[in-house]
Amino acid sequence: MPFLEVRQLKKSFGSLPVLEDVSFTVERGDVIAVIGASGSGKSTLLRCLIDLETVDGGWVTIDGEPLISDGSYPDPRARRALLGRMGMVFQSFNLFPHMTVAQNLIRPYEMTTPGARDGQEKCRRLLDKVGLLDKAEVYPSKLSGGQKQRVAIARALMKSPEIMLFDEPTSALDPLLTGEVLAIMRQLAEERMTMLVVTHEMSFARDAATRVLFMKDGTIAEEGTPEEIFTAPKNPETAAFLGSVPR
Amino acid sequence: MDLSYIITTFLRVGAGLGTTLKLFFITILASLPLGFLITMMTRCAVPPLRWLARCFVYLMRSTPLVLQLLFLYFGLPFLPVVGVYFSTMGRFTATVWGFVLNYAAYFAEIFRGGLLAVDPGQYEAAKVLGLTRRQTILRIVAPQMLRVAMPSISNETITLVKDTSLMFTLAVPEVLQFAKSAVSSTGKTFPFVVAGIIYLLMNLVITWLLKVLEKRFDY
Ligand SMILES: Nc1ncnc2c1ncn2[C@@H]1O[C@H](COP(=O)(O)OP(=O)(O)OP(=O)(O)O)[C@@H](O)[C@H]1O
Ligand SMILES: [Mg+2]
Repeated sequence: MPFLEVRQLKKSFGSLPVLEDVSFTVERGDVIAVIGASGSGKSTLLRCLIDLETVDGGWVTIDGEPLISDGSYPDPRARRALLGRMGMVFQSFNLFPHMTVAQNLIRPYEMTTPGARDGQEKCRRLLDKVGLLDKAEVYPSKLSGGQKQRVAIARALMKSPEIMLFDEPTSALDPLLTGEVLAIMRQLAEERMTMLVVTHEMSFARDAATRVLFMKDGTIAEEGTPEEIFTAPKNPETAAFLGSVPR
Repeated sequence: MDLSYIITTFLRVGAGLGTTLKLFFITILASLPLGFLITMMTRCAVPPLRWLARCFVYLMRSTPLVLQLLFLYFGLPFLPVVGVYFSTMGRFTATVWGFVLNYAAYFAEIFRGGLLAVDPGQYEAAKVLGLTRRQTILRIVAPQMLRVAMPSISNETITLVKDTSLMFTLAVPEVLQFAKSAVSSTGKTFPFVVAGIIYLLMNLVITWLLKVLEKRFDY
């Protein structure tokens, strides 16, 4: 059974259809790169999966349990429980500016996990993992973009999610700083974290992803291994897109 | 003018300080949370609640506080049906209601501006981390809103210290009232100077306190 199963997902904003019949599956340990032109619906897809947008139709199943079933959602408790197993990292970091780095990790964790005692310890371990243990007591305003994104990744990992969604995690960064964030993501991939990554970093899609989804006008126009997509795309649209982006 | 005259005048005018401070503290403590509640109401999904909150803010900000005080004390008892419940309301109580409602409206408007400054991404981050709506508002949004709103809140607080003298309207004995009666009975204007000094001192302390508070929001 796949870990995440998306079937015939539909979403429109007013009269603008943004997702049309999107279907795909994600196995545990998969790293899926989602690529495609601006406006093709990549962010919307991720946002629908983590309940930031309400879909118009379709099915989403996580580990066998329905998050969306024929366009309707389960009761709030079941919904919350499923969402608790997912983490998301945004393009614009969205760290809480009034909390220190450590508080950004610990406070949300303690708010959502009443009675948890391991917040401090987990926080130290994760900050160490992203190489920012020395910044624990610093406010986000004092960090570089790359450091902010690494904190955001650590924060998302606090609740030990089983799948991580990344929406263009390096697009807001100075090109010199994308490497440090991609390195962390590569490390997560090596640890077999299940990941769904919307990215314009073709090098990451090519060598860190297990599969690549190419989106075009709200549909998945092509899907395959990086090898298939990058060296022998079947869909001329894929080839055209890849020809238009820097590699 | 000898020292004992100065001291007696300070004591005489200062007798109103208790009432003045009482009004100040009740107003601040009640109108800040009430103002926040009204701000939340102006953004709530239920249209009638939204309209009610907006009308309230408009009404309170567009009419003079003195008029509101006069209406609360002299006008309410004449309302049909509910009027009787207000006929026993004391002058000080009426003043407190007027101040709390009026200042809540001003604070609501300040908070509204502060909320606009909070990045929508903050709500989304809170949601994907699993925070409830309540936690998001109280722990994520409110602190950021307060930082933006702090200078305006400080301003209103200092205005409130001076506005307490509007209790004069309903003849509640406070600092200005005592000064006025001292001036009438002695024929000297020095008690007014004393009243001025008392307001200056109060604001000196409050300005300092607000500075300390503003520092806490510095991140
Ligand atoms: N909240 C919204 N209201 C209305 N239209 C929206 C909204 N969000 C997205 N859209 C529209 O939906 C379409 C898909 O947007 P989406 O953000 O999913 O694209 P994307 O593939 O992530 O693009 P990019 O690479 O630029 O991030 C676009 O045409 C966009 O204008
Ligand atoms: Mg996008």
